[in-house]
Amino acid sequence: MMDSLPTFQDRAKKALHDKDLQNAMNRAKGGFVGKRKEAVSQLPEFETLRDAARDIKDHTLSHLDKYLEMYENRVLENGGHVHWARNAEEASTLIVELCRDAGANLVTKGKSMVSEEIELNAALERAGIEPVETDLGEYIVQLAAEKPSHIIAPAVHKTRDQITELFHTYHQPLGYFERVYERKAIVNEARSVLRDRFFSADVGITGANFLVAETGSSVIVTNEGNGDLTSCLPRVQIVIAGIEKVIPSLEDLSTMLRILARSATGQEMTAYTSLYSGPQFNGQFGDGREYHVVLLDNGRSGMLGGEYKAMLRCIRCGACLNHCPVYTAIGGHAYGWVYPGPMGSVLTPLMQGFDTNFDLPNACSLNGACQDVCPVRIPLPDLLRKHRAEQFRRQSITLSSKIFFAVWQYLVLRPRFYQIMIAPPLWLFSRLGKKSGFIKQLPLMGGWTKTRDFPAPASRSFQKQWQDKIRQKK
Amino acid sequence: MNESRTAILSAVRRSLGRDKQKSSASFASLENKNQKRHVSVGTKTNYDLIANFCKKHEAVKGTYDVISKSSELLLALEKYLGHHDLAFELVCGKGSIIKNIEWPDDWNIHKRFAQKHDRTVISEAFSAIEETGSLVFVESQESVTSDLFLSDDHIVVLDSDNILESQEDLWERLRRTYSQWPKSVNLITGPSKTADVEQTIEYGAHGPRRVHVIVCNLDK
Repeated sequence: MMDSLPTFQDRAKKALHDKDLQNAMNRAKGGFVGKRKEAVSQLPEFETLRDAARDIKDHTLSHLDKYLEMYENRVLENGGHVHWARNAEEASTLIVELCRDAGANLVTKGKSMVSEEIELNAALERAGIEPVETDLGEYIVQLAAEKPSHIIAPAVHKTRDQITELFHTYHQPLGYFERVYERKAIVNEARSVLRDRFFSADVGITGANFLVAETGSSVIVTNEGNGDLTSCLPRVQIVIAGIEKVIPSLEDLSTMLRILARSATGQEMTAYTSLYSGPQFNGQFGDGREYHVVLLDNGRSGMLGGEYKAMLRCIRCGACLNHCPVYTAIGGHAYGWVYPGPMGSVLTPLMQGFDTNFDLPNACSLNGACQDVCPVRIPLPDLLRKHRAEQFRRQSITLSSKIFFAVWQYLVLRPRFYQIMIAPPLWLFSRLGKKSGFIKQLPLMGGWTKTRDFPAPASRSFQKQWQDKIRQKK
Repeated sequence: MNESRTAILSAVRRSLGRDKQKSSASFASLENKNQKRHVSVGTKTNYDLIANFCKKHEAVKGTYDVISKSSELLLALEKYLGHHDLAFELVCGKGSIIKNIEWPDDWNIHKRFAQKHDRTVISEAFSAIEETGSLVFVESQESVTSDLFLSDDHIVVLDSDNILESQEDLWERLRRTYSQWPKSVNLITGPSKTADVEQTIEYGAHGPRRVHVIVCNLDK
């Protein structure tokens, strides 16, 4: 269930007034940022690694057809199957069919943003197959009938009390009658409930952080170990990944791993890094297992040729979210689709169109923090600016913005007139805020000053002061 | 489904500006262009691989013991099990060191794959990486991936000769050891954990709550 409010502005407003959400977001605030900073400071080569990671992705994208074919060949040699899906519907249908062929009633799932992108859970449910998310955060959001609000911390918006109640509601029928309040007890109860699910699942579905062409490996990186139990226990293992996930070699993988965990959680290395390359032997099914990879396009091949190509470098670490003042204030759901924060504001209009996502490229102060931390150096603010320019070209901007920019353009093209026009309000504002340096209430802009103070400008414009300075020198 | 494959690859080629022309570049030639991107990390001042590995492993909340005689292995195990008040009951994996352990009669040793509720598993690592304190396991018909994830306590026997400096060394060793690339390679760096409740770390999410390494630096 996505937030049902129609516009970003409505959803953002609601998020800002949601006490539980604000509590949860305040609690999380700065945690990832501090940990990343510390991890980065301990690796002198980090900036060089970012360059290398960008180059690896650019190189791979420039030969994407070749690397995809290599990857496919390796998987086939390893005894696995590779399927290709042009869009979300094709991918869901394909996976539902694979599950049906496996006679599946229950499917365990590791965390996968692509599976959110194709709305796989809904498709499985429609087919009478029960999907169970096994990453604790994803499991919590699934119980709450919500979507993840952060790429790597799906339940960052949930408070402990909310989790306690969710578990109490959904675990009672399974024989867990007491409410669990402590973090440890909550984690233990999830471990116990999901352990049973892992063993009764017929199919396990995960995403992939990377696909290695050299060996035909899908690589998943987790801290909980849920992705691995999902991968290795059921008879049928399915991996779903976007076509941009492929990288050439194992050495490239090392470079990517060195920047991924540091950028995401501030770890040097996540607890579990696993390379799955074919149907592995297991205790219950021996060598009678199946290994399937579904490669999803869904607009990626189109992006490859355009000015948004750099977005395909994204490794979904979440650093841009953690460092974004807009994301940290409103959380992920306000963005309205699967991918939130700066990377989402670039991706969502590309994948879902501008019509319902008009505000996303504009919900950004262009402070550049996202670009500063992006491990593969995606110029996110530039891409957002491109979106804005495109919106302007299509004239899909609001009337008030149109009027504002028309007036603005008229003024800035006439510097003398501009100086004359700007002098009276400048004088007035500087008088208003003379005492404290801030203006508490602005005429006609009460909404803006309701939650913040406006810094008082200098009484004379910069240009005036500059001219005076030059005159004095003479 | 072949239709989708063709459509996607054509769309990719179209976007790359070489419409029908299939790239004939070989993996080797592409990889030659790729070599310059590799960055080596870590300036070593101290080449004590064992000490460095142990330090890194401890930093991710793993525990360890270093022994120099094979006779000390049982004692090390006894010490660990006793310290955590665990039964002398183990699911035992395969490996050149483990297979030589002469288990006391009163220990309950299960030589099988791990199951849903097994408390303690002992297995032998293929290798370990000093850079990150990671343990490396390779699946086979004798030791399966689930053995690594089901127990509460995972005890790992590691031959100190198999500690490598970096991930790149591991890839090299794997390429040398296996002509057919293994179906599953697992790098394990500390116990299972989650921060999904209030962004605060709790150990023992789905995998082992504790990982204990016995580093065998045996006189040879």
